[in-house]
Amino acid sequence: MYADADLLEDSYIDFTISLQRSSGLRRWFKRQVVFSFHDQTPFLPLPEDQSLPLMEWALNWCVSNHYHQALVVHAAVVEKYGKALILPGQPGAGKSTLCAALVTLGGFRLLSDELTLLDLQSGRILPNPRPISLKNKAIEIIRELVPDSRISRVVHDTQKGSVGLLKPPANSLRDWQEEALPGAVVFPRFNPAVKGGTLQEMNKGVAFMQIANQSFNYSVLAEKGFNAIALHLDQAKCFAFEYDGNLDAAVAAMDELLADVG
Amino acid sequence: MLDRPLICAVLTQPDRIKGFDLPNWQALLSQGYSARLLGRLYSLFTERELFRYVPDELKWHFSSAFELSLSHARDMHIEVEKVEAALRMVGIVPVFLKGVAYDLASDRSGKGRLYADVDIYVPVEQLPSAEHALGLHGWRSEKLSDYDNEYYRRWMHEIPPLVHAERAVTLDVHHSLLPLTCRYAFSAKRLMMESTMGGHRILCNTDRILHAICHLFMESEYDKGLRDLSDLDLLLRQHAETDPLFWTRLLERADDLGVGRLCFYALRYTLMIFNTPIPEDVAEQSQRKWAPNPIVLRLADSLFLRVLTTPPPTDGNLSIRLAHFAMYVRGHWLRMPLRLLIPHLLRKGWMGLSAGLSKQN
Repeated sequence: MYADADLLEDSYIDFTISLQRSSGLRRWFKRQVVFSFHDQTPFLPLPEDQSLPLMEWALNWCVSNHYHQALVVHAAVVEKYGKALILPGQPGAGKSTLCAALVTLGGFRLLSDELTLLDLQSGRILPNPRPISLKNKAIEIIRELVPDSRISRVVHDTQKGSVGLLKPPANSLRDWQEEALPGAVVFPRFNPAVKGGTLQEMNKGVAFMQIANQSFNYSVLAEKGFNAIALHLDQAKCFAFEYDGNLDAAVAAMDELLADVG
Repeated sequence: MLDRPLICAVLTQPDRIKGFDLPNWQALLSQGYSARLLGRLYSLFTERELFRYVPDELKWHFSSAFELSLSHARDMHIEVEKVEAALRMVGIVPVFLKGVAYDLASDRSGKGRLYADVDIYVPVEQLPSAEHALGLHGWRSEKLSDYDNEYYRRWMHEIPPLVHAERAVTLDVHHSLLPLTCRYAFSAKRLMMESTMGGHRILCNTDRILHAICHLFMESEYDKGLRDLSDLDLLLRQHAETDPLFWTRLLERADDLGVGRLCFYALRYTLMIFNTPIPEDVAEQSQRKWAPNPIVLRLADSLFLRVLTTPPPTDGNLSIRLAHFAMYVRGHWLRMPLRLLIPHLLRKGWMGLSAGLSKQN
């Protein structure tokens, strides 16, 4: 999963974390794994089998709980033509699937499949590229769509169902310091009844409220968070996107959209 | 003696960071996260124009922690107004305690601090109307077992925590400062209050400090021990600087309230851990009057120096884990006589075990 990532030597470490077998009887019977960050253990232990998804969730927790230099929004974000495409969405809206299709098929650069970091000063997006967490049916869909994609061993029966991690393309990791300019904010919704899908421009006020609601630290940042969303939306267009599951068509639509904006 | 963690040295002499190398910074960051003191370090560094010595890659950890503390302070101020407004209806003026009081009093210990909850004191005879008014304004008591409820009401110094239904902030209502069964208990009627510039009620300086001392040195859980001791160090430094009679008044007041032993511990360990500038005659006087016998003192040193500087580790270090366990037992023992404590611990142990078993099934 992390084969293309840089290894640090003689450099500062932001989060010192550990995943360890829980102690006591559990060492012998139904082994569990515990995540700790310094002396905190924010999550309950999980079966040892779920170590990899737990590590990804925990790393997201590290960022969303401690990084207040940016507004941290629960949304996938990718980049093409220098512009960011933000995909907020409730669980089940298909944002991870769409995000995976965009970076594998569409040549988009992955900034994050889970945490969109909106810089407070510039309103730009800061990348945080890590494996994409595919859930349930999405795993097979992506496997069929992109046969040469690298997906981790699938872990079943997690809190979020079955989880497989998709290795991000090498360019996403290589360019992890390249910020993206505001482009479009697209609220995806998977709806098989709408043949061919629909893309409708959305009122920015409505989009603003949804972004604020989906952010982890809006209440911490207060006015600064408000200003960051405002700054971003001044330069980005907002759309509601219903797609029927045809990912090739969806990728083409998003590509056209980003080529057009700005 | 144990080596003090690096963070203690930095809290005492922030300019030590000028000579820091990479492993030093990594250790400071880790200890700062553990003790939840990164926000305090940020405000120390910026006040003394030292922030530029923090490596660029790590600056955000400190400023983000400070940002979080600002949001806590902001939320807490709203809560203070709401609590006052709710109680005004029944003519009660609450006295704010602990962290909230530091902030309202503009104590240095309030800067960069996080607030888990809001603590107030209300005289015991006003408790029923206070609870009623708070209930009408949206504060709800969490669901507790009958046993826990009874335990709070009969033996503790506070009612079960209230949580606001909309804002989800916890409010602890105290009717006494220490558990009623505790061996250092004194009547809350003897406390002296003052008003802040903003018109809020808090305890006067000496009582505010002695309250912090009583809590820290009777605690049974020391996961925030270093933070609380640093609060105390800052409070002592600040008031000693501004009031020439401070030390005399503090010692007299400790004597008066019968908490001399706890005051002795506080002065001893702030001095040992943070080099708090306590005048020699003050240290000597508290030692002469209130120190335990040498055997107990050696034990106290070995335990307090461990739990106050190091939070309970999640693994490894047995001596620190044992020290935390010993303090857990001591905290309970101080709070209740044995004839109450043993049945209580057995009961809680059983409740924990049976809850664990039913979860398993």
